[in-house]
Amino acid sequence: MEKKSSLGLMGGICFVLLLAVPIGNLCAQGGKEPIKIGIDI
Amino acid sequence: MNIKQGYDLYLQEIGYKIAGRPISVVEYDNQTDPKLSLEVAQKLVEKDRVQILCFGTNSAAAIAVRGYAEKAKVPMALVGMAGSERVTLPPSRYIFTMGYADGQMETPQARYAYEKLGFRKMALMGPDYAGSTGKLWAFQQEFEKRGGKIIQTILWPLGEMDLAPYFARLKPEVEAIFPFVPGDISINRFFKQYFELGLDKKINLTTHLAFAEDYFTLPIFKDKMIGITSAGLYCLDFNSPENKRVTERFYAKYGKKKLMNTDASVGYESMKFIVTALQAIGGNIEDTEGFLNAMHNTKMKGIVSTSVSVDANGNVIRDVLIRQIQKKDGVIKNVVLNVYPQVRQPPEGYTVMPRK
Repeated sequence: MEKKSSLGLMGGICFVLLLAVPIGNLCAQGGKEPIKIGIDI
Repeated sequence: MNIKQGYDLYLQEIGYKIAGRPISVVEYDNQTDPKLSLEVAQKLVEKDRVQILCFGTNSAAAIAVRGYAEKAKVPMALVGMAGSERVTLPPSRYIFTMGYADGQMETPQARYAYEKLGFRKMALMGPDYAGSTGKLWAFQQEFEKRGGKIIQTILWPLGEMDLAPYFARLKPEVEAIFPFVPGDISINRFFKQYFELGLDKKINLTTHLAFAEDYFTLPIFKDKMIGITSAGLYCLDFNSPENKRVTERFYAKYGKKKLMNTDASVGYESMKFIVTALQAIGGNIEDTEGFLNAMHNTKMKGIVSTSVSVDANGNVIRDVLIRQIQKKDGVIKNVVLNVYPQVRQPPEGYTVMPRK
């Protein structure tokens, strides 16, 4: 039972993190448009 | 490819971000084809909507794209146009040439050959096309101005495979050769025949940088290369904290299979130059005029150069190194003999080769 619970908890943490990363990035960038650089080698 | 490694190395260092704005990179391979280069530039601007172009390519491809970038009003940083086009083409506020060009290295190199290496009678050798003869001309101008004499200029058709008949023409009084041939295969062939004919025991070589890169010809010809001098923009052995730092980062990212080199350093510095200008305007690339002014006003420290900036025509100004291949600490490598600070394009005293 304990094992199942911890797996469930981990799943919850992962879900929160996955959501948090893009939101965090948007905040850090202030939602600004990217600067686009074209490279031709 | 090496230039691209330099671009990526710098962008990774700043986390692909300038003044809070993310940097998005779109890239293609022009295969050094002028027609394809133009198509790629159009695609980058019109489809991908890029705001800055970075071209690392040969002169023909660079010239093809240059006009388009100006017409489209998209700033372009070039590592290419190594001939005299920077002087002969009308300048454009949109174009920044970050690599070297005819005369920029040959002028200090010829001066060093005369003043420090003591050469008085030299020969020039290379294929008969402008990419080669422009460099030979640049060397000759300065060497003869100093008091030396070019007693032979030996040219062959571009693509010639056997150079032995041309080496055979060298007069016994020739003390040193300044050669130029384009591309890795041609350089290897030049050295192979030069060594096979035993010329290394009779005639000195002072070469274009591509002949004497630590990662390229030194592992092939090893101690036969000792003594050869060249002018360059980079030297792995250059002792500075910035060179040490960037080189360590280069190996951390790409491994040690290939040594840190000139192209990677020029790519790194070109991207750093662009980013420095963007930072000065708070990342506001939509202000094209502001960005162009910032590029013209940017002055930054290079990996080995005390300063990297551009002149009013967008041509890079940087230190030029005179390098010599030596055995140092048990390793055959280039070491720096002298530094000519802040060499411009065109350098003082240089004039473009007259057309035939």
